[in-house]
Amino acid sequence: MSAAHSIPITIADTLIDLASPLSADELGITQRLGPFFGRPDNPLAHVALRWQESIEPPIPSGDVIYDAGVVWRMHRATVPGVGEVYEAALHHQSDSRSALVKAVLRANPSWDDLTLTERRSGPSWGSLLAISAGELILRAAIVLTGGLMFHASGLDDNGQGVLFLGHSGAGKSTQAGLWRQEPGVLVMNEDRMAVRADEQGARCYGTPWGGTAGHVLNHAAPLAGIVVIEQGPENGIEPILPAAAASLLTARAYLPYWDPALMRRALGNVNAMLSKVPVYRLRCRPEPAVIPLVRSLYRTPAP
Amino acid sequence: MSFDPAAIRRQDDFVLQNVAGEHLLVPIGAQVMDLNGIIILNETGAYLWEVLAQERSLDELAAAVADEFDVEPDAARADVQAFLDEIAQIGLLV
Repeated sequence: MSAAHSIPITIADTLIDLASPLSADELGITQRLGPFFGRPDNPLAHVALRWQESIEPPIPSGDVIYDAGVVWRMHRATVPGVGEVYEAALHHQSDSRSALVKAVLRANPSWDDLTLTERRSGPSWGSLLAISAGELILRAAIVLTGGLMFHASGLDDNGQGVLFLGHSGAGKSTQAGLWRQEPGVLVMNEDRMAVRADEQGARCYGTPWGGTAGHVLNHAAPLAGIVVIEQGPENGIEPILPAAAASLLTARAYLPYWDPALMRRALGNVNAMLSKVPVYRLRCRPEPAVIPLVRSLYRTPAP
Repeated sequence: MSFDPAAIRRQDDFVLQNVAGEHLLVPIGAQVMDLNGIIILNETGAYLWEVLAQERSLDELAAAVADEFDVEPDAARADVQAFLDEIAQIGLLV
């Protein structure tokens, strides 16, 4: 089958140029990725992605070098005529570890030349590109252009981006719910945000992969601050020095644990972000009084 | 002592990097599942980690730390011993 469809997908200024014999609807990716379809004039990263069908369950080549659990396992292989490749064996999230591999994502070491091989199964089939495969692509590709994906919620408060980090249950979604009521506030995502730093500063981006609430926006904003949430008996906010924030940010980033060279780039990106963006610790109860507290970090009080 | 003082070497599958002044040691590959976390090293620990890329004896490490940080040999040896005990306990030595 030839690639009859060209489907440009742009997430966090990363253009994933998808070539596929199936349309976006046939791949089942329109609902989740549709808001991100489009080709910007000047993307910061460009990924060529071919989708191809396999009649049999696809089999990754090479040895397992990293096991991310039930969602995917990373293999590394040397392919004659191609060189070193990474192959991620992807499973559906609801499947057990022993389930058949549903898709294999092959990537070159610079994550800009990819092939996703999938076996279609049943009338409700949808490509894993809409979920785990797409997320893995962005997670790796963004590292090479100064970025990282974070387990975080994020919003645009009248032109100022704020990222909320915290462990599961710390209150990221609760914060998003409180802010959603405020005029001029756009909640970009409650669970997965991308951030990229450059000489000018840092920018935060909504991604398609939200949490349970599924609120996602294809939107970006200059990043004014990163807020680490801890639940506490009283509301309070304090700056965290960059050195102390380093491990906090790193622990909440989706890091390329399979590749030491990419990991060095990723840690370099954390370093660049910390030089551009202030980090704060917010101890709070889940109540609206938190909003002016956070806004005091980047808003000048009215005269 | 949970290591051979004559032949000490660290595991390879880690990336050590200075991030905003903090020395972060991040596991790679299979080590991620075993360790499940990021380790913060102080200046001496980060220095020893680099030196331990090759097999060393406890005497060599103590001498290297005494020289690098300009401390008394006995104090350096105690520091090295404590560091090695700690990282051996979490499986970071070969």
